Amino acid sequence: MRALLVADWLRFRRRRDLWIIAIGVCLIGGVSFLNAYRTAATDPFVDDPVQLHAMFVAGMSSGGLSQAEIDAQLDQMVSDQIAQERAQLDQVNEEQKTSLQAYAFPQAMFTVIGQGLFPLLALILIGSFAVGDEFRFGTIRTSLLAAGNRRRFLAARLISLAGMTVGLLAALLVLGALLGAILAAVGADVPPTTVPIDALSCAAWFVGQVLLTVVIVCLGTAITLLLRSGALTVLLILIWALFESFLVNLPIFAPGQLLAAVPEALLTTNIRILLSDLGRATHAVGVAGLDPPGRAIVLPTIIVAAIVAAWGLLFLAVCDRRLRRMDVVE
Amino acid sequence: MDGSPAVIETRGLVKRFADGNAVDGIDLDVPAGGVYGFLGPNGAGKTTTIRILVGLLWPTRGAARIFGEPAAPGAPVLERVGALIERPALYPYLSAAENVRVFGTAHGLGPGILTKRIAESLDRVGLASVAGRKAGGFSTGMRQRLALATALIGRPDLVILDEPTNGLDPNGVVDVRELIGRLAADGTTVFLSTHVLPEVEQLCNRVAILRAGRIVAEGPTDDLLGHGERLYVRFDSAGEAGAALELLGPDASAASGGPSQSGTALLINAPGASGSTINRRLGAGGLYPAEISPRRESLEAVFRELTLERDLPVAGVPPSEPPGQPSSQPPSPPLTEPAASGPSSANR
Repeated sequence: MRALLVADWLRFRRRRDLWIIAIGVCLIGGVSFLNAYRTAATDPFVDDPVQLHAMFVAGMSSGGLSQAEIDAQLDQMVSDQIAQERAQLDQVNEEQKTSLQAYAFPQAMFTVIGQGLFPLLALILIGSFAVGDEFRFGTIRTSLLAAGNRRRFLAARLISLAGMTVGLLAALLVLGALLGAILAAVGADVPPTTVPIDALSCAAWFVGQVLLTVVIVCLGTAITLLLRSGALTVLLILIWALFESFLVNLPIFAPGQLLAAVPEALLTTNIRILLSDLGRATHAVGVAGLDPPGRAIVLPTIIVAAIVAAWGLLFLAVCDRRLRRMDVVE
Repeated sequence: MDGSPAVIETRGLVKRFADGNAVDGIDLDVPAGGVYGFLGPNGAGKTTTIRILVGLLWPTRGAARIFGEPAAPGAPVLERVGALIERPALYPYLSAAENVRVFGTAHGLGPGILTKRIAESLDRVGLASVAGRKAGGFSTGMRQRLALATALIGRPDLVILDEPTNGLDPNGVVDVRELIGRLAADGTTVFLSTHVLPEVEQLCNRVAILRAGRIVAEGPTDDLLGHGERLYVRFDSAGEAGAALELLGPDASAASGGPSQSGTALLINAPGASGSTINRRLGAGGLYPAEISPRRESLEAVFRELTLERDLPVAGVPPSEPPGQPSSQPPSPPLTEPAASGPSSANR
């Protein structure tokens, strides 16, 4: 097994496209982080009467009023807006201060990973390339012959991909820490953390992230093995996610219906629930506010994780069965 | 075959695809050592058989064993096999040396021994000077050589080569033939599938010929060529030749072409028979030939004779006989007794 893992590393380290994907994920994560900080740090109040006046004029129709009537109405709107914003000033300032905490170390580490689906998409790409290319180049023949045992070949490949997953997540964590430190170093408006993040929950959140990505990698590998190509895998996974969201919205699964709990067995629903549950437990601003999907039955987080893991095992079983039984005709 | 255990052994091997049986009951016994030739026209089932042997395909029926152990996909014994199957399989983004290193590492070779072996194997296939170049930029011949180097890096006990000289220039062909010869001399068993018949005559001490997924002849190369051996007998007159034709019966035929145009020459099917035996038979009948000489057939002629018949059912194609008629027999008997079981024995 160790020999196969080393062989995988020798191959992957020379794949320029894998490095480009990994660097791209970090770049996109970093740019999104800074962009989100810029938006969060922007003063939410516009209390300049001239600016407000111009904003209202742009969105107003005359409606048969005279110019004097329009001017009077605009003045009233501007003064109302300023009064309203001043009344909410304390609350909004407090909310902004809280949201800006997401960009301070150590919360910045969570914020970078919580930016979106880029890491997951990247891992699907990496996974489908890593397995699909064996079919494309015909090296599946020599790889299987060198590995001897097909199950060992699959295990080595999945362990390699899981290793890359952890590596990519770790790189994003480091990136978040660096960006938080840079913002602090340049004197950016980043208030200190008021609610400390929970170390144990953070570890659980990280394990959850690894679990999710490994499940996604297993899904990608299973589809790649079924299709004997990595090209369509990303598309099929996106279709899968869209199909599940379509399914969830069917009237028969609506709250109060007999089958309302069925969507809670679906993969994407459980991934969303797991992310929001684990994120909330960390108290990290960047991930604590993720909205969970509507749920007919509120299951404990560990059960949700078990459902996600069960999906992973199912994909793993598909991979194993497919690879062991397949005729290699490439 | 001598008494040594078979390195490759198959019994009633069948592989069915959607369009018919690519392999249709193959019984093989490849002895240890030497070069075993595996011949057949395109679509005869050579590559499918090889893929079953190296665990890439599951047989539909029958079994294959290598070194006495089952050769099913994932079998541990496959670690003792090095193979080059059809087109070379390489990672284009890796250099020649890195390609060999990846496969050597997967075979469990440590970095120290690998570095030495990579240099040796690339040198052996003539790629030492381009060890650092990416395989994606290699010509077909260079890719073929590199694939050979990767197949041999684990020092396998059995090397299975499917058309190893494909795409090579004449020098490359000679180099690869020499390499195969050296492997055999070192005690490695080489199973060689090729279309290049002179290659087989030069290298293989034993051959099997495949047609439509079945073995139609198998045995030592010399016997196979001897099987087609005939005696050329020339008389001073056409009358004597005619009398000899009558005397020898169905074993003799009027030779075609060349001297036979005068009607004074005969070709006699006499595998293993000496000229003196025929001479005695003719002498007893009062006929004295002016010349008796052996005419050994080329492997090409034997191959064509064994594989050009059209009446054997081809994979996916129904036999030409009308329903109810017995299947035609292939033209030549096997050089060794076929295995007792398996669909192939009925058709030989």
